[in-house]
Amino acid sequence: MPMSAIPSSWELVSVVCKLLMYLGAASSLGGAFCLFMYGDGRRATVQRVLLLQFFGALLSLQAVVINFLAQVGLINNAGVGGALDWTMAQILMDTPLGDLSLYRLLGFAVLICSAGFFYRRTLVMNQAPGRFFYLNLLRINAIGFMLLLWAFRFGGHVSALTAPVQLALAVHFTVFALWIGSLYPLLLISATDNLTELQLTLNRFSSHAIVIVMVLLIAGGVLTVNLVHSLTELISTAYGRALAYKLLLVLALLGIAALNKFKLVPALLLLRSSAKFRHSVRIEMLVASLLLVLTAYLSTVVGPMMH
Amino acid sequence: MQSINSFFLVRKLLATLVLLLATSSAFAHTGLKESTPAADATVQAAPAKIDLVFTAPVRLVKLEVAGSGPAVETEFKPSAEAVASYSIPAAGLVAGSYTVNWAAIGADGHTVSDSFSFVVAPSSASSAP
Repeated sequence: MPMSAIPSSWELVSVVCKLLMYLGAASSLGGAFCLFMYGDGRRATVQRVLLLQFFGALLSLQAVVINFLAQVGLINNAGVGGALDWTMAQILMDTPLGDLSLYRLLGFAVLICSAGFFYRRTLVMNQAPGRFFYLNLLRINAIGFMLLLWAFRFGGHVSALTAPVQLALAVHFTVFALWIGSLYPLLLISATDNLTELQLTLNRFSSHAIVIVMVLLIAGGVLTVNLVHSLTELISTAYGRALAYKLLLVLALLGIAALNKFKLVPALLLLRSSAKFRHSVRIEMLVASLLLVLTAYLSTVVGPMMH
Repeated sequence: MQSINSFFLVRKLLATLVLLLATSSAFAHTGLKESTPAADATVQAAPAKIDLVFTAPVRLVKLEVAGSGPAVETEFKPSAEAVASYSIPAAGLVAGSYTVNWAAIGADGHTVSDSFSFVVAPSSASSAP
């Protein structure tokens, strides 16, 4: 019996779980990075970012568990009851899927604790958080994020490839998290009347973003070349086509970033408002979310051709 | 108004994505290359074992043989190592149609599961020991 072209319910559950994990990871690392590098120093900003991190990581932790159970459900093919088969769950825990899930659980546990700890600090501090606060937040979040990166060694299409390709994936995922995870804090930071300072901050962000994007594209190129071996595969296979659509969304993101850098940020003072810039960031967040949906689909439902 | 437009835009984009991705060929996770008995085959003699050959080494975590009667006993045990070929003794097959349900974990950690059916022709000897 050939496999269906439409994902099963369990695969769709898995896609949603992966999406939540990606969002949780990105908001934690990117959020801490953005606060450290471009933060406006306001307590309210850091608290909102930390709340997002906390609930994002908490959702992600639950997503890891649900994703694991979805694999049990997929194997048993006996409805929700089949997903709660402890015997099969124990069998899967002894496979790379078990290791993958364990490191993800650890990673998100660190991020939850980090968000909780630093949020509580903001409640008791007499003044707005200083540089060391943001640096420590970034350090701890980086530890949690590295546990998530380590998990990729145990599962995923790249886990079966060579160490340099796995490194390219780690780099790709990290810079993507830095970029996308920075968007929400950037949205908060840009809600200000101090447009002169905002313009300086955004110019700094833009110059760093160029480097981030270059690294993202290079690492993405290495991955593409190792996962899709010909133009025919890119067009004729589900994996190749999903990758091609992902590239289109990346180009759309780059277009929005270019619009921000060359048009909206320079015009901030002229417009006397950051409303247009903020609207552009919201669209960027939307496109990034679609990109993550596609990535979750790529990493769950389909796979590269075997050679 | 902007948020309503964004919502409809998201819906359209998601629907487009789903349509574009749903029509495809080749979902290339590890799969079953061949089996004995072959899928949809009619065999004259009841097989004493079920052979599975995968496209790449996998850890076989489930194998069930279901017929019209009680479940068929096999000597299947979940695999501790990844290999590409499995041969599982399955005694007690008699004439009738059977479905083999299997599930495995690939080297990339992905779960794959599928099934195939075969028929043991009437008037064939059972595979009971």
